[in-house]
Amino acid sequence: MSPVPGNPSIGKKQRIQGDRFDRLVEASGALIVGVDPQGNIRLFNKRCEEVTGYSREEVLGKSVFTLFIPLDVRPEVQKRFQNAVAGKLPTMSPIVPWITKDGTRRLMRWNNTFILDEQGKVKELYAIGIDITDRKKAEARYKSLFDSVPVGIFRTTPEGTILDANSTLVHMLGFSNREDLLKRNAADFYVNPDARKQWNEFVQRADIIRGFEAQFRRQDNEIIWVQLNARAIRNNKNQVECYEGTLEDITERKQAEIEVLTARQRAEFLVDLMAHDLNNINQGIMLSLELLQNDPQLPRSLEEHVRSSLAQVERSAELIGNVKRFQSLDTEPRRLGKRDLSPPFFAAVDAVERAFPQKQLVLNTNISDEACWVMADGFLTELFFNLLHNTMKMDRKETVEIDALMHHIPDDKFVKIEIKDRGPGVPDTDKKRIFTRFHDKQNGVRGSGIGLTLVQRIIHRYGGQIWVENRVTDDHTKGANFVVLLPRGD
Amino acid sequence: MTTRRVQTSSFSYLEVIKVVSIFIIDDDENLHQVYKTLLFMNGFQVIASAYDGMEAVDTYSKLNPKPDIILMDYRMPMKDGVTATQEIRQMNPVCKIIFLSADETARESAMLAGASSFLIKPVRFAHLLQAINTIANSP
Repeated sequence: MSPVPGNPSIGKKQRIQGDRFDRLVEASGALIVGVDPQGNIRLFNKRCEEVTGYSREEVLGKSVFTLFIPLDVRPEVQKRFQNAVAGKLPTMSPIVPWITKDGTRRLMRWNNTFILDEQGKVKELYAIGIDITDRKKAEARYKSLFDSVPVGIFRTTPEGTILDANSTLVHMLGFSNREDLLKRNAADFYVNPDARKQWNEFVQRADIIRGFEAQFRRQDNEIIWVQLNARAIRNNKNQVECYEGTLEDITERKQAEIEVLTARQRAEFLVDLMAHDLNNINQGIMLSLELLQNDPQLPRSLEEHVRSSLAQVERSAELIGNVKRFQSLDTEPRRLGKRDLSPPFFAAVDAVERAFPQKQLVLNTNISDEACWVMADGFLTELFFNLLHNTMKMDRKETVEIDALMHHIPDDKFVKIEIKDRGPGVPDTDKKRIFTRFHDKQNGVRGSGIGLTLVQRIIHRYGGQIWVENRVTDDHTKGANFVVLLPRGD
Repeated sequence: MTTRRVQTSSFSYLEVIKVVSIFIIDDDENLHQVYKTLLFMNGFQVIASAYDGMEAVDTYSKLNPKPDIILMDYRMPMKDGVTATQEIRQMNPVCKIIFLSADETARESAMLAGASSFLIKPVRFAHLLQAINTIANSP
């Protein structure tokens, strides 16, 4: 840096002080520039050189306005400078843009100090500046992010005064500008005032609150559902100063939830109607048919019709039971535990034998009383019952022979169970569709039950698998082999 | 309780049964008719009928002698089967009640209320007879 033009009569002590001043100016991280009352540059430190790209030699003695102040603001800046030099108001603006040597516009924040002569006139102006261009850009980016995120952002006092809100929130609550929103109290928007009280209590207690749902009334009186997430900001006395958080419009989601709930309630009502009212009707028909069946006057030619009608009533009751169980798979929470496979399997065998009193079941099985642990729940009996029941139903013979084989594969995470029958079998075209009747009306297999669909759903609930193969390779007419994989529980 | 030989029906295992008195409680009038006929054919005596829970409790309080077995429905007007069971059991803690319901979820509350047995509707008559005999012959 060039020495400040000095007085030859200056003393040694003053020279030392001058040197110190020069070193300080040079080492400063701030821009330091000195100008005379005409705006000509007298001092230009190293940081100025770094930021502007000009060397000191290039700028000394030249007008700071011509060199650095952009044309669009130059008259205003120059006027303010001249007013300040003349001791008039308004004073100089602290933020003034500069143009660097390569034409880049930088934003500077200045602190100005006027040095006066003995008559009180401005002799020199020293300005200390900081380049705030990057900070301003970051602020602009933050502001843009703040306003453009798809959730509302707010800051309110515990009393409900809205200190700040982003554009998304302004529009979400039906306002056209931020100022109008900031005039309102946050509590005004709650449809239920108790919800606001509850919110205050929660956030005071927990400091952070997530997923608080409430109904808000917008400026146009439309009611929306919102989800609030916020945290309490406390002062050094541990008092809540304000809440900062986000607000999301969840009206569509809530409506969908309500629709799902309504649909579920309707389904429950219909299932209940079937389970109760239809089964009461079934009870009347069943007993009446039994009455007929046991009437010695019943013509022999009608006996088969009565027997068949009774079987139809039983199938109707079984279908109703399966629909109810199907529904409970959706509503009952999935709590799997280690369960012995044998008791539910044999309970299912007993139940199937009771369901087909006119048939004989010949069961070849290696499933024994010895415990075989799988990960399952209370639907295990339903699984085996429906699998065996399907086999008994499809095989028209009076004596139905079934092989039920369990395989422990070492190091495998599944237990494999095969249920092989000697019924009509499943053609290749139906092998996948046989389990999808209930969901796939277009492609499902025709039939009167949902037993196999229920079986598949139970197995999927356990994380297992089921498929059907031919009992005899390449000949589906020799019977089916239902292969079930259940997760091991040991 | 007396024992007598009854006319043989097609339910051959019921050739010898006790004369068991029965009180039918169900809101379905049609079911009353078939229950009565089938029970009569098999040598049982239906001594009373009620069509809702309130009537059931009232009728039971007036019955003398009391029935050996009560066939109780669950869902009925005025008072449900569970409440009626509780009130009847308060009058007679040793009465025997067979619950018949299409609603399986009622099983636990029915048994807690004091039912001796719980059958899911629709039930085959043979199973109902089996339950009646088992309960009637239990101490």
